[in-house]
Amino acid sequence: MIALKNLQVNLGGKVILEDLNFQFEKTGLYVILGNNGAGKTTLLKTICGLQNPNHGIVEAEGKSVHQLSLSERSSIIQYVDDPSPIPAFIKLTEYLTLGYQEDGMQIETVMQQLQLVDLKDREVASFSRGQQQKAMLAKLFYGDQPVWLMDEPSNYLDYPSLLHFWAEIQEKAKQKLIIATLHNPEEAIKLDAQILIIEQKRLNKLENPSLNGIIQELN
Amino acid sequence: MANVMLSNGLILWQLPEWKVLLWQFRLPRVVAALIAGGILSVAGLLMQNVFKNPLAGPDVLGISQGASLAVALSLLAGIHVGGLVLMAVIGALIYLLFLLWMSKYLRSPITLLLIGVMGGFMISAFISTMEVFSKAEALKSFVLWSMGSFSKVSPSQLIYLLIMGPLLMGIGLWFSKSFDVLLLGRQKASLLGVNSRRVMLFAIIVAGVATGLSTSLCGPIAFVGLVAPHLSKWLLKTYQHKLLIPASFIIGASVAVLADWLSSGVLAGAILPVNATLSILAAPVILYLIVKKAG
Repeated sequence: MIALKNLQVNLGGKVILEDLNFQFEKTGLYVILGNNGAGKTTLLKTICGLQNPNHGIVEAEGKSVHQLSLSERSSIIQYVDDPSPIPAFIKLTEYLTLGYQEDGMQIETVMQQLQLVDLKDREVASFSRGQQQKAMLAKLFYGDQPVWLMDEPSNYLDYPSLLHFWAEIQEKAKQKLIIATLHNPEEAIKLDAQILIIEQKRLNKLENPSLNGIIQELN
Repeated sequence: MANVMLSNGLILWQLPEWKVLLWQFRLPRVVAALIAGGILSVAGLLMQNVFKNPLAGPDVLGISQGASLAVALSLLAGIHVGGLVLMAVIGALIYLLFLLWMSKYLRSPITLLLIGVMGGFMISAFISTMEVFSKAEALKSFVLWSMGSFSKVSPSQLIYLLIMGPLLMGIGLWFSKSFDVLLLGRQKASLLGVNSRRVMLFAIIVAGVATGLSTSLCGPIAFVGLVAPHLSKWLLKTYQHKLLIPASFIIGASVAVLADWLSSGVLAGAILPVNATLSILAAPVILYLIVKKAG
């Protein structure tokens, strides 16, 4: 579904990612680990088309992501990052449908999946960080695109929400390609996921990962 | 009875004097205030969205000064490029595009605000310098213009406002859904399939034409463009541009007409500059909004 070919990305004249070659399957959960500043966010932004690569291409369904039209791209790939300020007066249900067709059934389902039903009529601007992160993830669920990229999606979730969220994601990963970055190996190792590590500008897949193995790799 | 005449002395129709007063003086002034106040407020609404800044407005970000510089070049330095209105529109657009370009490299909306304000100061200084070197006659007309007034719009200039007012509103409403999505930020909007760059450009064009047009005809008008969008959001409690654009227009138009009426001798028994009345009306509202936002 998504293939990285000879990918190189520079930021401010500095090489961040180099010579990346990787083929993601059509479905499944991939977790990308890496230290702060390793280039996790840059990689996700490059895959979803927000960042242009300096060399190489990102292919989605055989076409370069950076050549797709905005509407084509938005129907294949979605990306969520940190909660950012949301303007006032946007209620949760309005936030979920913003940019999409309205579908009442789907709204209800998604709010249940992310345990947001109680917040239904409240303004997203008044949410706590964790609630806002859930709202952003709910928007991802609502859009239902085949490829999801998530940049540290569980940062602000409380522990019960975190467990619930990953259970939902494992279920979704049966029909989608989901790529998530994380910085905590302990969180990653508990998931039924392929684990990748970014270090020294390159992306490596870990075979039979163990917690100690990952920690050694990251050090 | 008095005659309504065309400029060549041809009698158009005969009317009682109060009607002549109404048609020739009162009505153009009210229409100018309505449309100029309305389009400045739509400009402010769109600028607050594009620049992600609640304090963005035609005057606060220095856009009016961009237009003023063009007017000064025309009135003081005698440089004419296709008429005053066109020059002012170009002046406002250049300043807006400069801010849009700067905003790519800035992280904080406050920085953009400071750049806008500083740029405005620089332009004002430049205009003051031009004033020193200009002839008395030109200087007088420029100073009168720069005080701002809805009463100096001639019937032929009114046509500009009557055509452009609905046109700008139409463009705004046409893009209203995209403006809604743009509220989430330009990157998120583009992930949702909205061409942020194009949408922002149209917002800038509407804001620039509105500011240039109203500034060239009525002088720099303070605060309406900042306060009316806030009042409309606060009254309607919505983010939807299909509602906020007409609401901002109506509120901005009403505030401008009210301020114009209050300035015309009702308050002080003397005629006040309309900008003084507007500042007195609007500044407390804006201060309240800032304090409330800052918590």
